Amino acid sequence: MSVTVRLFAAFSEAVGATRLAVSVADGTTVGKLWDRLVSEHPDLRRYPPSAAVNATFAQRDTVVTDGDDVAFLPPVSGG
Amino acid sequence: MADTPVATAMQALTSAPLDPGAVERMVARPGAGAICVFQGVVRDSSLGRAVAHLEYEAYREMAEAAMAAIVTEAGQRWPQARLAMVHRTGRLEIGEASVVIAASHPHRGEAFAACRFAIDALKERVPIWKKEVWADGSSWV
Repeated sequence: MSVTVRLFAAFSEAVGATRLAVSVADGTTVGKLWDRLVSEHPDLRRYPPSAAVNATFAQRDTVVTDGDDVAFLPPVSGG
Repeated sequence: MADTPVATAMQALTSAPLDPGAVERMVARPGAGAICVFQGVVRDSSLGRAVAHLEYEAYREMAEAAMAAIVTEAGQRWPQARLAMVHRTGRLEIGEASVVIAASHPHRGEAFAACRFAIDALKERVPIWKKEVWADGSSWV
């Protein structure tokens, strides 16, 4: 299964990318995907993430499916 | 005709300089005795450091949906209010507006309240991020 990870702001800076194509096993959760990213890019630990799957907020235990857009968002600071 | 809130008809996000007058005109109507306009403006210092400029980034799809949801919620809380909000992305210089929110209502109490609600909700919920750039570095806020 493949998902697209979307990264923004401090997270995209930490990883050096705004989009990643990631192969994941069936049943992978948002939380497991995040944990994997953090293990590869420890600077991601700096801020607590929010997650969204296909532009809808998701939780750690949300299961991702093939083709999903999974966004990890640092704390927002608009305005 | 029922006085329904106007969802943001103008772009919720733009990289172009903001036009507060245009946002105000979106909510003006004969029944509105009060119009409140809030502008968030780039200031020259933050936590003691001199700011050179700001950069704003948005998760466009979710930010537009979140802003539309705020407008809808304001319409539910203040049924005769109309609200419009626009946030700018990209590079902003000192003195430029990053966000303009206009709220109209027959009465000023509700116009103030709806406008205040909208900026507070935006700052808490909308997927937009600010990066401060100083003379000697930068940081996402």
